[in-house]
Amino acid sequence: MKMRKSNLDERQEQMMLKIEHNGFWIAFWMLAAFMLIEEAVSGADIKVFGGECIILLTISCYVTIACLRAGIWDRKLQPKFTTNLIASIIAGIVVGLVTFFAIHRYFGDKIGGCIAAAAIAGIVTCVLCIIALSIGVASYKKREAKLNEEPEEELEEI
Amino acid sequence: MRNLKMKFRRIELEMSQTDLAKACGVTRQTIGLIEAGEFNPSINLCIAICKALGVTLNDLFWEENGNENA
Repeated sequence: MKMRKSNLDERQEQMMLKIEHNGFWIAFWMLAAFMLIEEAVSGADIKVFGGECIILLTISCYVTIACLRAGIWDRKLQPKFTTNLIASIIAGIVVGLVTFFAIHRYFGDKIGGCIAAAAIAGIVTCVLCIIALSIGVASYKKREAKLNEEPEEELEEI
Repeated sequence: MRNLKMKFRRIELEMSQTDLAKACGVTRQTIGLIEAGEFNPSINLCIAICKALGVTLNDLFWEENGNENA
C-alpha cells in the first residue's frame, strides 16, 4: 500500500505531537490511579487487574529504555540521590497507604497488623525504588558520557 | 543534508562541538545532528548558533539554487 503524504503542516504536526503527548500521559496516570484505587478500595488481586498491570509495565519499560538510550533523564528532575530518595519515599508512602486500606478491609479489627503490613510494603517499595533509580542514574550517566564524547573527525573528514 | 558551512565556521573558530553546544545551551549531540543534517533546529536555536559563531542566518542556513547546505 502506498504511504500517503501527511496532511499536516509543520505547526499542525507539532500540535499533533503535543496532543498525543498529553493523551499518553493522561492514559498512563489514569491507568496507574485506577489500579491503585481499585486495590485500595476493593483489595483486588493480580487476577483482576493483571492486564492493566502488564500494559503499565510495558509502557514504563519502553519509556525508561528509550529515554536511557537517548541519554535523557527528565525535563525538570536532576539525576541526584536526594531527588531519587524523595521520589522513592513518595512511592513508599503511596504503596503503604494502598496496602493499609486493602488489608484493613479484611482485618479491620487488627489495626496494628494493618499498620505493620503497610509499613513493610512501604519500606520494601522505597528500597526497591531507590535501587532501581540508582541503577537508572548510573546507566544514564554512562550513556550521556558516551553520547557527549567529541567525535574524532574534523577537517580530514571534510 | 549536511550543514558543512556550520562545521567549517566552527572549526575556523577552533571550537569543538562541545564548546558550541555550551555557548548555545544545548547538548553536543544536538550540534552533531544539526551538522550531520539529521535534525532541523528551530529558528531560535539557529539564531543562537549564528550568534555563537559570529555569523548571520544567511551565512549558515541560506543556500542558493534551492539546495540545502552541501
